[in-house]
Amino acid sequence: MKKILVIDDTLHLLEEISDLLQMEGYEVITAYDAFEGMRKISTMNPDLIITDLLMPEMNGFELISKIRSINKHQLTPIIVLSAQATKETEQKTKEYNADAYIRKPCTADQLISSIEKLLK
Amino acid sequence: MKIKEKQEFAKTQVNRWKPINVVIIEDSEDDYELIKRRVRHEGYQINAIRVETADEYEAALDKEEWDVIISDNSLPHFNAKSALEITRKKYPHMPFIIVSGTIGEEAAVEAMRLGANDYLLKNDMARLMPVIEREIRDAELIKAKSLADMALEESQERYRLLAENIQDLVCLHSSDSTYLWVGPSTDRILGYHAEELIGKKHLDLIHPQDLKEKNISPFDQKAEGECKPISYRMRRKDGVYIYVETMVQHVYEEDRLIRIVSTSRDITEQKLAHNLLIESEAKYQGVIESIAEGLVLYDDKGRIVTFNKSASKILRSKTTNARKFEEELTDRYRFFKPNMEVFPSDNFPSKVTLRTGKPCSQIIMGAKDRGDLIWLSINSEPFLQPNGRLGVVVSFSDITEQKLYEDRVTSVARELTTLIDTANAPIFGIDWNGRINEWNQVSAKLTGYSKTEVLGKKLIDEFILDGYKVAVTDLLKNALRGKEVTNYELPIYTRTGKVVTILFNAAPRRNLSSEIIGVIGVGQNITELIEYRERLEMKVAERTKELNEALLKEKELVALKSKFVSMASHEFRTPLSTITFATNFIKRYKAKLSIDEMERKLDKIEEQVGHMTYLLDDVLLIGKSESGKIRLHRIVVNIKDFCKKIIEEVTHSTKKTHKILFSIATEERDIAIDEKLLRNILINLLTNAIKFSPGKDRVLLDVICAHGMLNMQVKDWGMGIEREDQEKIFEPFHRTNSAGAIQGTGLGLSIVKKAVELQKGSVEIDSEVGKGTKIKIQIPLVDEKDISY
Repeated sequence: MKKILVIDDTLHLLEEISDLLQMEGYEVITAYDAFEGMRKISTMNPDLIITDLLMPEMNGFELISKIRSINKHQLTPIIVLSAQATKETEQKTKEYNADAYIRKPCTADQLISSIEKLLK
Repeated sequence: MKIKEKQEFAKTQVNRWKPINVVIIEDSEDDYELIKRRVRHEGYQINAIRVETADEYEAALDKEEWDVIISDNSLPHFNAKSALEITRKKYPHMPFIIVSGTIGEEAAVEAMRLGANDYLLKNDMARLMPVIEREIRDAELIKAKSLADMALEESQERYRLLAENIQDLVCLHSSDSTYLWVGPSTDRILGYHAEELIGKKHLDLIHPQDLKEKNISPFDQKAEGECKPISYRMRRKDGVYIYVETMVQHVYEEDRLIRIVSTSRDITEQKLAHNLLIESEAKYQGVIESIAEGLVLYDDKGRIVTFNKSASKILRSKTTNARKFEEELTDRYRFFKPNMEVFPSDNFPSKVTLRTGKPCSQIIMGAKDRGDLIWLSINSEPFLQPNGRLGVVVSFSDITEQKLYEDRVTSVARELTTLIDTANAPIFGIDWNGRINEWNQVSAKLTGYSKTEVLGKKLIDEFILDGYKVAVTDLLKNALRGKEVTNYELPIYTRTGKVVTILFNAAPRRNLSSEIIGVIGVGQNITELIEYRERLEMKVAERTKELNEALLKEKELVALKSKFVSMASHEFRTPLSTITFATNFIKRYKAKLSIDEMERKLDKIEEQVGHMTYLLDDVLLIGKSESGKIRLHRIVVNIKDFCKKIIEEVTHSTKKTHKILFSIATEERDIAIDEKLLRNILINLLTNAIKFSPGKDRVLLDVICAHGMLNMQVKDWGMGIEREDQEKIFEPFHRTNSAGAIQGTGLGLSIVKKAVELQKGSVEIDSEVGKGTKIKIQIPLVDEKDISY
């Protein structure tokens, strides 16, 4: 069973994504902010990471850099799920070596097909 | 005739009534007396003198006019021979008789040879008187003869000179003008010899034209007594005509004209000269007539001799007659001075020059008949008339147009002067030395110095501030070099020591020949203007600052708005995501889901939709307040009841997690407030207090309404706000780090702030991390009566 780490500071959204991915047969780990996310990456070694960008203390880009600085996770697929709806942000996520960029709000199908594609 | 008379008298006798003057050369007194007695004896008076020496004799000869000399032959110191020599030197014909006692034949001959007239012996004295008489007579004769000879010689000489010098041709004609006798000038004048002319007729030689045209009347028999000279042309022998002037004299005998004497003179040269003169006069006349200036010649009596065409043309006269012209001048015209006073006739240039002999020049005189006024510029000059008297030549030209032009120019100049003086701007002028020579009324008023006070003073020294002297000197120099200076701000001193600023234009001032003679400055008192400008500048600076601030604010606002929009969209996207996922979840797995699970998802959707509605309301409220669209709408409410209602609402919406402690102290039960805004304020503050004090069980609301102020305080014992965040929490969508997962729109406090500010109130925050937060609101109250419904 593949492990997916979801990092988002919005509790109800985190719950929905978690519910959805569990129903699709993934093991879901959640984190409310980047620090918790980093902790859980190192302890639980997720196969895929879904992260928000706008979070308190440390934003998504810093987080991605940190994840990529970990040898093990240099190639771990990262999906950015952000409410920031600008082209610049999308471009920036590519520069930071995130694998996909999904704009909020998105459908369950979009998210699931993106995950499946990256975990193949 | 005289000569003849004398001769005749001498022949008859010696005048006995006249004494005979005798010099007697004799050493013997007795002999002397003897001679005298002898003469008297003969009946003559005698005036005698006895001399013995040559000296005495010579003295005697010079002393008187003597008739005869009687000399002794030999004297002790003198002798007849010597006396005779002396006598003949002086008087060759003086009778000289020798009387001797003894005389030889030889001596007598010798004496006669020497020129003695006779020789007598003393003993033969009877002969004496007859000899004397004879000798006196002879001497008279000789004397008379020599006089006649002289007269003849003189006369001959005169005639010779006359003949040689006579230029005129004198001829004798018969009554039909035939030449009878012709004078010697004929060769010279007519080229004919005298004999060639004899028998020819004078009239035949006259030029046929002249003969025909002129009345050669003197040759007419009937013309009696005419002796005026007439001139005509006569043909010379060589065929050339010469001009002659002829006088004729008729000789009558018994009333019958028998001869005509003509005296003709060759006047060809004079005539030719005269013709030349006429010709040159004609030329001169042509010149006089052709010049544009009027010329009038006056004689010494002040009467007009002549005048030229231009004179009559200028004076609109038609006459060519000098008398009539003169009459016109005196009768037809009236003459004026340039100032239109009558010109006194005694001061007419012609009269002045005639009186003083001095010329007058460029006298301006207006001449007016019934028609136009003619302006004349007149010169008069004395000249010497042919008769040697003073005349006056007056020349004049028509300067009417020029005068009118000058009058116009003068009036323009006068106008200009008035304009300068009364212009409503300070105008002043300086000369080459920088001395003031123009100072109009406004200049005087502005500076407090009158024109008479400043004229001749140096502008720079008197009026210009020290710091400006060099610059102004340069500026005036430039103007004197022809460079205009415009809009120079020139501070100058006034009498009171005050400084006024003049906006100054300086232009070179030129004379009629365009030479720069000074500078004329035109100013404008801009003291007030400058003050005004300074105030304006200050105001502009102020406004600019305000504007910059406003602009900055506007920029901030724009940035804020764009931030707000992106934040708002972000805030909407998150609940939308939750809603989307929840609905997708239901759709995907509806077959597998229990009713409870389905219910839970639907609750979540409902909750997020509600949240979004709040959010939308807040956003709209902020938008409205930002764009100033919210208008206060005060109504009178019971403040206590109002607060209680809100507390109930908040308690319910926060699921009764906290108890809201409420205290109120108010002077008035009812106050006028904007209900909506106050509701927003209280709901946000209370909700926040509860949200950010999780785990606690109460919050506090304290309301005091007194002294026209509504004071409200909301207090919680929650997490508190860090100092750096305290300033930012009123910005839209700002959320503190510690807010973490606590739900909120991020707009609550910014809505509170806007609502308070709209009511001219203030917000104060007092918070400590971990201990809680206290927010104080103060809103001034408005009198019930002032509210508008």
